[in-house]
Amino acid sequence: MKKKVDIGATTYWPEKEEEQAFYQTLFHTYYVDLCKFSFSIIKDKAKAEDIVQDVFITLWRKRRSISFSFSIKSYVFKSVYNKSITAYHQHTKRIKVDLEEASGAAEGVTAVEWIQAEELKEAIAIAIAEMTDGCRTIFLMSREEALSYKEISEILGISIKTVENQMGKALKHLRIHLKEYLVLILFFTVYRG
Amino acid sequence: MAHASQIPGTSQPIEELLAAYWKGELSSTEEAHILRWRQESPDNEHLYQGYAKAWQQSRTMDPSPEFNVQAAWDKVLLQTVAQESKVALNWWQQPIIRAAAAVVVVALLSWIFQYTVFKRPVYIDVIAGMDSILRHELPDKSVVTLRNGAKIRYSDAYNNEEREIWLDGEAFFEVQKNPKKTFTVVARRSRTIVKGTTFGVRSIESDTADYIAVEEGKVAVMEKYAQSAKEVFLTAGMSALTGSSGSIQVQSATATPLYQPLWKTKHIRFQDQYLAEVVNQLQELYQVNIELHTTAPHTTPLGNCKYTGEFQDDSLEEVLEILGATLSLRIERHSDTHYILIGNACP
Repeated sequence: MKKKVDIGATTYWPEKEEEQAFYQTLFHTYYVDLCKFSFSIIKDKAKAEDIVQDVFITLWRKRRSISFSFSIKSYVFKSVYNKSITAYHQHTKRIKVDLEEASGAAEGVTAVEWIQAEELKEAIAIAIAEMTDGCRTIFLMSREEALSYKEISEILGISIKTVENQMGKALKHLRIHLKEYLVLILFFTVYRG
Repeated sequence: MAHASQIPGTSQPIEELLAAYWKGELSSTEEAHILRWRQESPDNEHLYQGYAKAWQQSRTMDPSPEFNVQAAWDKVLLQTVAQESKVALNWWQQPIIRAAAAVVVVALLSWIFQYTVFKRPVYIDVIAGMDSILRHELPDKSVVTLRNGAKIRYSDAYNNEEREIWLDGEAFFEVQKNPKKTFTVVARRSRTIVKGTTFGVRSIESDTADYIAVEEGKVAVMEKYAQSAKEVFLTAGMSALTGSSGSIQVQSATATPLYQPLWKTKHIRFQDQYLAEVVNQLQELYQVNIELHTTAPHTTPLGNCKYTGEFQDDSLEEVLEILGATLSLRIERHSDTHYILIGNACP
């Protein structure tokens, strides 16, 4: 599996001469991942970006006073996670599956295939929404390639065993809920591991 | 014995193991167990494929929008590194100000260098965000209010011998009196010199002229490079414009001003002005949409009626009420931002 160079794996904020370059790289390395992560929780693009930017601004302002107990990366993911969850609970319209952005038929796909794909997307969104809170969180985090089980456990303050366990539950849940849809698309998607 | 929900040689439920497998969390021994298990029977392979599809689809098909890192970085940079460490940002090329909601004061490091070597001054740039008005206090306690997107620059020598401000955009100045040190606003096409007064300047690239309006006191206005040596003096209520060619036009305090910094003063004055223009100004000031409906056919449209009046800090409702009473108009409010003025003909 391809791993990114993990600039955020450190627990030490760099020296003054290097901190700007470090901060900039940190931002560019994780920004999109963090936005997607936040978006997967709150389903609101603008809010997701606000949250991630806020976290980075706070990181900079408090950089000398924060003690990064695991890593800087864990810190930013954890902050984004906490803020997203808070924002999500404040949100009145909960779990509204919004598929508009994803619509649009690809070339060379028949109408039936396209409709099936759309149905599948919706089924996936619903299946994820129906997971228990803990399970969904871990599952969503696991979709971030940048986050390992160890890091997820650090961010959430749980054991690696729990992460493994919840991931198993998530997969089982998905398989059960998506079974009938997946049969349909059996022949035109190929898994690339 | 191989349990139905476990893979031989492993101790975890199959889903747990597969999830960890695809996440790249397994040891090579464990991966080998999975491979062997898949090859054992078509049923196992079928089961594997079922999970694999659920996994893969749930990771790739859940739609996620695109995020623009560079735009976000520009925004964050302003509120972090640039704010405190005075990174050199070029005054005229700011991709950043487009996004910035707040404000930045940036001293340019390169200028510090030049200052030490060539005794050149250090400049302070103050930029108002696109969606906010910024109040900035200068070293001599004079106050500049910058309209959305406006920028000013002044040197660290400001107030040493004289007070000079460069302006791009629209700003309102409340200048502390100091007879010994004149206060100058250098804009695109104009130079406005005062001693202590309150006035507004609008200097925008897409305009054909700079506009100056005096709220209080006296100011002198001249063409930017003073080539024509032409200078005009304005007192309270007067306004002027300076074109690119150096021409200066002055409006007396009793006429409709050439320019009013309404965004700041909320002080609006009309002198024999067409209703269509009055409505345009109100629309801009209050950020609403106002329509004019002339009910009687074959008459002069309402927009051509003339109006004279003055308002200070009034709400839109109050302004429209007075306007309606003066010109016999009926006011229909369709929403917070949409009004229709209906009338027969000019009185």
